[in-house]
Amino acid sequence: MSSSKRIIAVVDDDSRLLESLENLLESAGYAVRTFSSPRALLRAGLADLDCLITDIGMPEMDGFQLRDTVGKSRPDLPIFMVTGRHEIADHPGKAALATTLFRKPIDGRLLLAAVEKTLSG
Amino acid sequence: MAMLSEVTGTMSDEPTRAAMMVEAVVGNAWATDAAGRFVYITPGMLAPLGIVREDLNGSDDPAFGWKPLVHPNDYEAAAASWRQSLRDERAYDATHRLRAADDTFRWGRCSGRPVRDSENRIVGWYGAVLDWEAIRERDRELSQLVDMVPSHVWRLTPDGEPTFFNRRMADYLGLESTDTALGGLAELIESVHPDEVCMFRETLGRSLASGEPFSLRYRLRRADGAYRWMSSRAEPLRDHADCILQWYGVCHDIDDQVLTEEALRRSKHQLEQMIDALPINILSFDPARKLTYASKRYLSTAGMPGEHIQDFEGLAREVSHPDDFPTMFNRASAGFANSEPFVNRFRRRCMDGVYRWIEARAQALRNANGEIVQWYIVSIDIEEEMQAQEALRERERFVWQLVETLPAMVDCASPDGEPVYRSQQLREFLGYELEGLLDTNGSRLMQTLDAGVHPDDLAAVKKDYAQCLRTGEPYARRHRLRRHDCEYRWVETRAAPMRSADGAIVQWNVICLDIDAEVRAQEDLHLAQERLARASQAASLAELSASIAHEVNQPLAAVVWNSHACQRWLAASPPNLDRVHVTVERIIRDANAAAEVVSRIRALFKQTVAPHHRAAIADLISDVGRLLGDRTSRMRVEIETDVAADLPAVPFDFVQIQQVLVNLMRNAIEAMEGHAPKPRLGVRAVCDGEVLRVEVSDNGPGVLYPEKIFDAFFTTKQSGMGMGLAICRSIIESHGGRLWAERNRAGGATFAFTLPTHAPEPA
Repeated sequence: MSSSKRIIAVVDDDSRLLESLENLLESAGYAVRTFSSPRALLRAGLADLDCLITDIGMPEMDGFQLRDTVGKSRPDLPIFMVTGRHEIADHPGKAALATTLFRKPIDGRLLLAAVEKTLSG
Repeated sequence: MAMLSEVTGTMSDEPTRAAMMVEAVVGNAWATDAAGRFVYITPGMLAPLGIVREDLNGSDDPAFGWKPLVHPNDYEAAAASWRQSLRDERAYDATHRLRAADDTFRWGRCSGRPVRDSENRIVGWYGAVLDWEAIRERDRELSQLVDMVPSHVWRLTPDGEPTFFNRRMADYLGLESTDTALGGLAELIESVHPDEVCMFRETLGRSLASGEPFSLRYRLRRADGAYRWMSSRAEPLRDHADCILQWYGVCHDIDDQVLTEEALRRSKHQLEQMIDALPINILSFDPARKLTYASKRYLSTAGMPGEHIQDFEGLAREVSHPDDFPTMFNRASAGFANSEPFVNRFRRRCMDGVYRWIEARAQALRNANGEIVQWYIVSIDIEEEMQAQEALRERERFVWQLVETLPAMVDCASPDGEPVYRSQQLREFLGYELEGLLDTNGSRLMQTLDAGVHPDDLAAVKKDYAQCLRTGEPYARRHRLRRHDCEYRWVETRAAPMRSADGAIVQWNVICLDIDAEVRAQEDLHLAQERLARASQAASLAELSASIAHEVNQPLAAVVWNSHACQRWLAASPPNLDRVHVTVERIIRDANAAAEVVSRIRALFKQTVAPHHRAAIADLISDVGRLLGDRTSRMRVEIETDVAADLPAVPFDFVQIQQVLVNLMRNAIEAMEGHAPKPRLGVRAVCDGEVLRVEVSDNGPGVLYPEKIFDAFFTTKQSGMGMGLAICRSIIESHGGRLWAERNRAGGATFAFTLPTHAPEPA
């Protein structure tokens, strides 16, 4: 199982969020790589990733930009976005993203279920 | 002589007839032969003496037979003279006494002339005896006559040499005698005044040469050296051959007359000078209106009237301005016709062709019978005056036009406020003239206010007017005024008193501007501002709450996820206690962080700032009243302010407390909107022990939850965020005071806050 561990990358500029999400995902058996900015992730490469969870509100490059960039080289990579700013999530145009966009603080079990569902599908 | 020749020729032939003739014509005559013997003597001379001619020839001296007749004392001299004449064959003249008929002696003059034949030999002597005393008597009378004539009489030779001056003339010239020491013509000329001497010499010379009568006025020096005017005339006496024998002349002393004439002339001259010196023109016309006189000044300004100008009308047509002529001439004609004085102002043409304004006054001079003798017209140049008047009128017209065309309505009122003038703009706005207001309907001011001012504004406008009229303070107010088309329009009226030098009000000057569009625009602007303020407030509060949410959500999300992770690590078999341990620590840490955020937010609203100002709350209240003035007047909110007079100055942050008061009052106004038919806002400030209490009360619907409303995000308004009162409370509390709300017993709400009169201790 350890060799088949799925690799999930987490991007957030708040170290507390990186820590807690890494903790949650590791408790569910995933291998987690944390990045404090989208650029750090892009520098490290996307090749062996199975899933990406990113914050939206970040300096330099926000979650949407990161998703678009990643989509060009890994269109198949499942991406989840979480945000502390509810107005972003409430924005009407973002309705299409409903299944992949979560508000903080989203229930950990819901988040894990969504990730599990995507990776097993 | 012709007669004597005839006598001589007929003597021998007809002696009786000749003698009769001689006796009839000559009087006493005599004739002798060449030797001096009497051949005839008037018988009348001898008869009374009882002698005859022969008695004479038979006397002692055959050659001079007069002895019986001549006075013995005169005889020798007469006889000697006679003998001398016989010897020298020269005329005989002797004066001696002769025996008269009454045997007395009378002076007589005996003259004889020789008579010659063709060979020039003396053939005899003829003579005459004249009663010398009678002659002398006549001569004396004549002299007396000549001397007594009240005039100077003189006689000159044909050459002009004086031969006689009468006594008056001699006395005048200071001469001793009338027929001696006359002096020559030169001496007479010398007595003529130097100014006339040349003319005298010439005129006299001309007369002497031509024989024309002499006539001249000149001054002649009197004996005492004074010159007096003389009027002198002389005419020549001619003989039968028309040769001038003598010049006879008279010379009247006309000095007094000349002086009178001169004085008259001088006085006339002075009068003319005076007339010419006066800055007036004088014309005179006779009763037929013919021009009789024009003063020099008139002639030099208006010029000499042309030859064709006969009378007043002609002159008036000639010199008066065509536009002024009809009026001027009508008035003059009426004056002439009614014999009444008249005055005309008109433009008269000057010599240079320029018309100048003059004032002409005409008056008639009447004689004792009241008949008009002369019309006198005096005219004065009033050009400068007219120009000044014209300038004044022009200025008045200018000011008038200024007032009438100002883009404002102007009104002037008497000191008691009664309108006396309204500009055209105001009259047009109101739609009626000032005269349309009848005195019988009471004060015109009140009529105007009652008719025009909006009923809701009327009481306040009247109150302000009364106040200003009583105190003399300037008036300024905005209110609605009904236009002629019955539309009420907002106007701004300002009035200020105009005072005399002693400070008394002589007039109120009022200006009234139609500011309806501005007021409406301002209202719109206020609404827009209000909306904008609310929107921006809402936006900032939304942003604030979003930030707060984000700040809180971050640690919360960490806590949630860590909690789930912790649950999993515990549920694993075996439970991974190391991870649990680390995870729980993180949970505690992040939960504390979330709590920290909340207290930071509380601290944000609870700044304990030391108040900078110590100000009078009354100033603040009036300040806020002004700030909200537009809103209260628009919504017709009546504000009752009740601020105790002896409030202490308290320390507070002016801007923050102002915000609080604005908030409370605005809330009150908004609460009353649509709820209270007569919105009334009360602001009260009292000192209550150690604190100052300020209350804002309204007659709106009141508050349902007097405490809850101070919670953040609590609002009863559709558009509000519910932060206002929370912030207000936090401000008041930071000042060490309290803010609360109460229901009014009579309805409505009261919001009250306190401020300590002493600065709170630093926390």
